Amino acid sequence: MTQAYTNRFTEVHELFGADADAYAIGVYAPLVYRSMANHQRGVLLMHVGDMEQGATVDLALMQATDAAGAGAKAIAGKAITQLTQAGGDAGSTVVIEVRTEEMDVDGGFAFLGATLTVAGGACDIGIFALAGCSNYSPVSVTAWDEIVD
Amino acid sequence: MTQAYTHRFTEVHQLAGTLDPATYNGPTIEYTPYVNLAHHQRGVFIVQVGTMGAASTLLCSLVQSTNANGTDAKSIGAVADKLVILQQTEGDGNDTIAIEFRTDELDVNAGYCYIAGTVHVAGDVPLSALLLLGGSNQLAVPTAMWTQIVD
Repeated sequence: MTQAYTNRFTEVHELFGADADAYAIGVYAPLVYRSMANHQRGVLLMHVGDMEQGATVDLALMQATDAAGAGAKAIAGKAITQLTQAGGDAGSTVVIEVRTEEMDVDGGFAFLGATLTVAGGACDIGIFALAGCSNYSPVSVTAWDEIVD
Repeated sequence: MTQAYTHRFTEVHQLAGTLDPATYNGPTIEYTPYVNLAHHQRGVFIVQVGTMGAASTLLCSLVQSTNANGTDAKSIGAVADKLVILQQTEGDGNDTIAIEFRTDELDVNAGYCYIAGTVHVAGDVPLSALLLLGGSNQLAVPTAMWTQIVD
């Protein structure tokens, strides 16, 4: 079952967050923690542009028990292989997929977030988080500033 | 019909083009590659803008052509049909926009089956953009443009 012709992308994928900026060295939470109650799948897309000499980028999905990030911890196996300027990784586009069953639901971890770590030098980064496979559609579109159809 | 639980996002949505995250110093016009829609019925051009420079503007739109080189490129329908204008003076910094398209909106009778996303930048605008194709005739779609897929 693919995306139906009759469904807009924005009807079936809820925007959980996005950012595009030059990131200095540091550790960031690029997403506000969002509930996955209405979704069974999610995806975090990251596009890295120029990387300063010696720069590295790590990205991992996190889970928490509420929207404030209580009890935040990693989701096993949901981290990219580190991108390095030295390895020629500028211009990389990476994606992390997640299913709600991969979260610690028994422990009440129903909120999805992420941790972005930039080290060694600054990097230009674009991030998009989308939640799909929704129990009810169309999904909320309030996070988009404009949709042209 | 929504995304199936058994399908990865990257199995049903093909990453077809990007504009690298960077601060674009206008005036400049940037394009994603022109991509063939033969195997897709839908797509979306997503643009995320950072903090816009003073008095900067950004026009985001789609163009169609008859081949991958952009031959005879033109807008899809009227120019305004697939156009978003962002202005720093209007407080549009950090906006996220989506431009959806269907193949039936292209001028298929004249052989237009390629599409690209484009941005026209005036002033300094940090942005990142993705062109994703969906509604695919055959699954799974190619994943060659992804550097890494973690699943």
